[in-house]
Amino acid sequence: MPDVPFSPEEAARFAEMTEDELFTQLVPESERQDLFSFDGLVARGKQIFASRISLVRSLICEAYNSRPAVSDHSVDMVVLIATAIAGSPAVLNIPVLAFAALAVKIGLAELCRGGAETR
Amino acid sequence: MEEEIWRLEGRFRFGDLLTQLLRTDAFAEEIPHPREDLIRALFLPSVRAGIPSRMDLFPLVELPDPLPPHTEARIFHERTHYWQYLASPLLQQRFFLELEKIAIGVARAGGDREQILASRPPEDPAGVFRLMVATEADCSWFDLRDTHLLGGQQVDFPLGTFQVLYARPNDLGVTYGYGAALELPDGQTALVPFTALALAESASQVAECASSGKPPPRLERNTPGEVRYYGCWEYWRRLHGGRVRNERALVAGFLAAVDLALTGGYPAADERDPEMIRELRSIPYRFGKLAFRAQAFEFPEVDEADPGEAVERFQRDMCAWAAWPEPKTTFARSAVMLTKLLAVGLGRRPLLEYGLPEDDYGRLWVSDESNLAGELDALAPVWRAISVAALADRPRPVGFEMAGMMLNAMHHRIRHPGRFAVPHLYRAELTEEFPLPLLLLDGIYCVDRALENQETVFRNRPYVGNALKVAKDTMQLVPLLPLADGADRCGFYDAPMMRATCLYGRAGLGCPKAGLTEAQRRTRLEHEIGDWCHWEFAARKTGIRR
Repeated sequence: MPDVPFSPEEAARFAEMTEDELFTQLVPESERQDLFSFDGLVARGKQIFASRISLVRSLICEAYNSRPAVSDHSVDMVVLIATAIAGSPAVLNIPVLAFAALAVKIGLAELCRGGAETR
Repeated sequence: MEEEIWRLEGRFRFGDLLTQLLRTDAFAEEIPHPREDLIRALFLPSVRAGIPSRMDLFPLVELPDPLPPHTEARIFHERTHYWQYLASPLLQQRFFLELEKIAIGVARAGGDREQILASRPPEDPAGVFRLMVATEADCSWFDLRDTHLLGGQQVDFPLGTFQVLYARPNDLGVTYGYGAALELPDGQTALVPFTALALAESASQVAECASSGKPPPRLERNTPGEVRYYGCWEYWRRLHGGRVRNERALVAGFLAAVDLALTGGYPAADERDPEMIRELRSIPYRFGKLAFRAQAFEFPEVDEADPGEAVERFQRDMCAWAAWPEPKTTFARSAVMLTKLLAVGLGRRPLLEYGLPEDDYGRLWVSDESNLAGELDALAPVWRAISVAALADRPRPVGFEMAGMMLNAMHHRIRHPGRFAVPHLYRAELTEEFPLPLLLLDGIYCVDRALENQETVFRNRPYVGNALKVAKDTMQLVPLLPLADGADRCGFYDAPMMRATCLYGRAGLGCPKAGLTEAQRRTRLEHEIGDWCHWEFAARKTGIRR
């Protein structure tokens, strides 16, 4: 696991965002200068998330399944997942904390259902 | 099923006029396009047929008619952006700046910059840089927290509301502009810059609501999305809502002011007053002035037979009060500039060959632009020669058809200046005359369902162009667009998604520029298309090293 420190304050900021806000965070700054319809930025963020999640699912689930018993708090989980995926080329140029916060909000248990697939 | 497929959001790109349609449920199983079989049957044979003569052939399908209401509203939103872009001289300049940047990228990659419609001489990259900094300062969305707030003026409204003047540092100095600080019901303060992007989004959102008969939205939460789409309108509503009780007039006044801000004006040749130059050229500064000054004006009554005329009167009166050139004058100047660009794009010889008298050609370059703008009818022989040369398929640079359509939009605006400002009231007319050129949905290329009729194309326009020609222009521009930012990839390659978004990508043929898998290489061999794709065509046309 790469040693990438994420501060709890930083993680808390993302953990407090709504799912829609987090999806818009995944859209690169250069693309935000395009003219989207109101929910277009969210739809674009969803596209990006959907294209990357399968590539890091095993890393996420490995971290989730080996989490310490005390770390079910969402901010801790965001830090845990962000740290697990941070070094992966699959999230290159993607804001890792936003991605991790989305995975946590969508539900890690749901995401990692079916243990064999996650290993 | 249809409803599911066509529940979409839109994204309009400034750089190439491409409208991308985004499914709102990206997690859904892949749902086949209703014309999937037709597209598949047409695609590979047309690609193969084009390769020997080095042509980029691809199938275009129409959008379903009617579309589900949600998607129809979203496509209207994107059409509004296209119309803003075609018909606003200051935004047109942003488009030509993108072309300049692409031309520099083409030259840097060893290609021929004259294959791109660019007006600046190649030895003037500094000029392009200056223009880029100024344009991006005016157009881009940014947070007012990144600026120096120089002062504010309070507006009479129950929640704290201020119009603020800011200075924003950039690579060449400082840009001044206006924005708003708006206290929200939950006690937070939203900061709204009046940039082109913020104004264009807010105006499109308001027009979309007005078109669907919904009340325009209120800004209630300090989220980036709400601030971006509702912020400028919210400020306008707070500033004028106490005086103008009729919401239709309030909406029309807002749309007219945004349109006037995006229109800008050409400073007189001897103009030295920096204040006047800012008022004419800087969108955030101009809208701030307009918003405050509009307090002294009656808003357009849009219930009359031709509401565009009411909008025109409102805009003309505001310009007269501020000593700005009236919109018609600005549109005429823009028409002259576009005519010159088109003439440069074709070259002198073809124009003379197609019947343009040498004197008329000479006058285009010798006469003062403001004089030419005052007698636009004198340009008719130039427009005719340009159109005939284009109909004869003389070689034209990338961007030419878009410039031609902008000229047509200026011609429309000179006759009906107010209509583009309130697109929800002229929806059918504008869709008929200026349909979106190209929509991309999951790798499939669509045209807007209303293509122009022949009467429109041949009688009412200075340039005989149509949306289909603009679509072909866009298809050439999309692959080259990353060159504007110095990136060496095809514009159809979606870096965040890590896949080609073109029909080649959808058909499993991959992206040769990004690298093919073994399976993609085999499929290409099997279909005898080698490395051919939109990028390959654009690269050959411009002569860049591949």
